[in-house]
Amino acid sequence: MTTTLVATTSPPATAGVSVSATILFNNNSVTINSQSITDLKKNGLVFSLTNPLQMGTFLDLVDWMHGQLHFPLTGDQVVAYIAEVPEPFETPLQSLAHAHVTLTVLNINTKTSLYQVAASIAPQPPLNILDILQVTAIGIQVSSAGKSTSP
Amino acid sequence: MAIVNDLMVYLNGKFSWSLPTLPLAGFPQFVATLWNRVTTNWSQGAQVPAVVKIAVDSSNPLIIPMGGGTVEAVAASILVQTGSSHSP
Repeated sequence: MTTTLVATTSPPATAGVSVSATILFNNNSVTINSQSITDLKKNGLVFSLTNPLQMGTFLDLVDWMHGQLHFPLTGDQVVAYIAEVPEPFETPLQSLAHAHVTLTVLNINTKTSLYQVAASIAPQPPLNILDILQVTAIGIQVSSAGKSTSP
Repeated sequence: MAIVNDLMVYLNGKFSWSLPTLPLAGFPQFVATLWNRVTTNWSQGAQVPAVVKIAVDSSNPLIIPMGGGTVEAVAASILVQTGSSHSP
């Protein structure tokens, strides 16, 4: 897996100085910008995602977080855990795991090393569970505190 | 050859800003590392472009701390906007 940062070409909207970079995730460029460095000593550099970005599958995201952030699961482990789920839930969950994701939040605080990663997963077609539940999108958020939630 | 710190010193002098400069005591280590990086499209005395590129590549990566791990930066830039009277 290759993670690359490249320069952006968009200067800040107001006068000031900031730092910008773009992460390449599975060959997708992810631009992250810092805030103005006015309070750099107090706050450090905090990078944030500028625009939502479609990027790989949910399993790709898990593998990236495992490799970069010591996230405790790999994509293969997620697949294995889902395989233990009984039908009729296993098939839709496997489909969900392989669905493409949109990265919606990526915050990196270089002072505290805290981070937030959030993504939305929109399976096509929507998942039907027991013909009573239709799942059109799922959000997932992972923070450096290790808490994972589905908003 | 100039480093990011030279850029900050230059901007402070030109615009009367108060951007942090080395030695950056009490600042996060990442900031000090970044301030020592070489700029590739700006040198001292030259006009400052809106995007000042920093010499970072795969053989000379910039390591960004992120949680318990890191993200490797192989390129990065400083964005400079000088179009208003607002001081950073």
